[in-house]
Amino acid sequence: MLKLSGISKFYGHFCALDKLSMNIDEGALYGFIGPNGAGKTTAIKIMTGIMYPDEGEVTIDGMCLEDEPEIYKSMIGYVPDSFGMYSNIKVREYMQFFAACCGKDGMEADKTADRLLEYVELDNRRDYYVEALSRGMKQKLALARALINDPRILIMDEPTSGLDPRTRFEFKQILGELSDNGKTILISSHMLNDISELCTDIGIIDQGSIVMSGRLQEVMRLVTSENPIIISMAGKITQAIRFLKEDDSVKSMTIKGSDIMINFFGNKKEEAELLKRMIEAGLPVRSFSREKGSLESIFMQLTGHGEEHVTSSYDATESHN
Amino acid sequence: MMRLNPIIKREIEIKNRSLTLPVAITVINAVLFGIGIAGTSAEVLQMRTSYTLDYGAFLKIYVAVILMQFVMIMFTAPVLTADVIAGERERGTFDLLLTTKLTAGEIVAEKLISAYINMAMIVISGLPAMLIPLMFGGVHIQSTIVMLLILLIEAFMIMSVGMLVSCYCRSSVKSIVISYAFMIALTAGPIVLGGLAGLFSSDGGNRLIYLTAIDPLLPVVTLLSAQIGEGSAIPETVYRMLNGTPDAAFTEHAVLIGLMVQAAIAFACIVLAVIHIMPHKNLRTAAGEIELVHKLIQGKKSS
Repeated sequence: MLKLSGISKFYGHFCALDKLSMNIDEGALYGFIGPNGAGKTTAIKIMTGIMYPDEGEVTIDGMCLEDEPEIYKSMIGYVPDSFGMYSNIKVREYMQFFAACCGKDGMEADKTADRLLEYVELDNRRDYYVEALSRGMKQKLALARALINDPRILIMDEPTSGLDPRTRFEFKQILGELSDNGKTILISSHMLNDISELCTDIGIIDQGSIVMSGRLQEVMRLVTSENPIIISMAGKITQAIRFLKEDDSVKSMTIKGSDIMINFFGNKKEEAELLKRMIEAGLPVRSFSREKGSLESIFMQLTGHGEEHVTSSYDATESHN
Repeated sequence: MMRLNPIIKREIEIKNRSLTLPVAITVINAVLFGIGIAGTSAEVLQMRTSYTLDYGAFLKIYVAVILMQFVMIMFTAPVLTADVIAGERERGTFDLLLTTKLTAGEIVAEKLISAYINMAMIVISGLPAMLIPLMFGGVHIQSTIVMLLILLIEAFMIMSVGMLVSCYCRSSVKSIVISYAFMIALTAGPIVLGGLAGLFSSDGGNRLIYLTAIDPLLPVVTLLSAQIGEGSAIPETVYRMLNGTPDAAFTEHAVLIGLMVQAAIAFACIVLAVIHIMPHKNLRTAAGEIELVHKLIQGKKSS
């Protein structure tokens, strides 16, 4: 549905996006994550039509932003991390103003404003000044504003950041509802728990390029296969360490109490054979399993911080030995 | 019924709630009336003792009120335009405007018009103070109206420069400071540069005096000179001080030339502002945006 093909963006000599390509399917709840300075905001600004790429094109169902900017923009709703609120303006006036900016006049603007305020449960605050709203309410108002055009795609930058747990829960419910109603939603967030709870798809950006994308479950499975194996021993730990050190497929080890964590490079069959050999050697193995992947571990591995983690594990092993 | 554009409507609504505009109008009028009433009272007291009425003194009061009105415009206009775009950026609402159906041209035009409406209210509210010296004759009311129109045009030029600065700045404070710097450069720059060039020119040969055409003070001073019966004596004195002798046509049509040059500066500023904020920077689209701004401003003036 929303497709970015070979997008590059330069700020002077600095390359913010380097031939970025990504595809967001219709109805997806897409988590867009990356470290600070990875190019998320620039990519979002290009997706929303606020900024144009220096190279490449961005399309919705084949319609290019640069060819039909007005139609393209009407299909996108954008919630920035700063909310975008005016002071000295009332909640209903704020909605009416943006409805007018989106081409809705008079009665139509009023009806749209009232309907959306009711949807985000701010109808009882319509005569409040915007600055009197809490952070959570401002976020809901920003969401209502983004829905004025009834957009097909909703792009949200850090939507749950700074919200209290209750408001965050309510907000996630609203997003779930919108997704169920067929909206395609892109969420850029540092709240990896929220992303893993909410999203169906994920894209990880680093240094201006997508380093991994796809269905969240598939990505998790893929990364889990590279996670360390945790072997829980019922005894004979020293013998087990000696045994594992002699195996060429074991690259590093970390010992935590009766658990041995190994970086093992082999397929599932080789994993099974290692377990078989340990049991045949009379080592009392209580459990043998791959550590489950989390979004955080994926993020850390793919954005370069994982290497530091592996190295430090190996150092710990060496010092232990 | 005329339908207001959303930005203009919102700005008017917000300004109506704020005390800023009434306070600005009150302060500026207090200063203008202060000058007008104090000057007139002094002359009337003088008349009681000398039994003669010096009409020339009322013309001086008129000049003082007009020049003060001009100074007020110079100080107020950058404040009114400083946050039009820079303020939107500070609040994080600028990007949101770009995601709506509004084009860069419409945003610039509507912002400029809404700020200009406030400026025009301030300038026009000063008309009664400008008319005080008329109680004793000297300047016709038509002349005062013409002067008011010139001041309104000058205010538009100054605000266009402020608009451009606001588009380039990320904070309102920075925008105000840079706008003031531009105003000082435009007003004092031609005189300073002309003066320096005059030091190294042969008698009356300083060609840099034509730089005064960009000075917003030129049309005001030239017109004032004519209105108080001095012809072009005042601008000619300035040219002589700068060691230059402009063509007779320049001296004769200095008001018109000054207004045309400043209208061109205003237009250039608006074009650059639109180009700067538009997300796409190809010239074909830019030309379309500029045409749109032109239509919007024309429409506003005619309405």
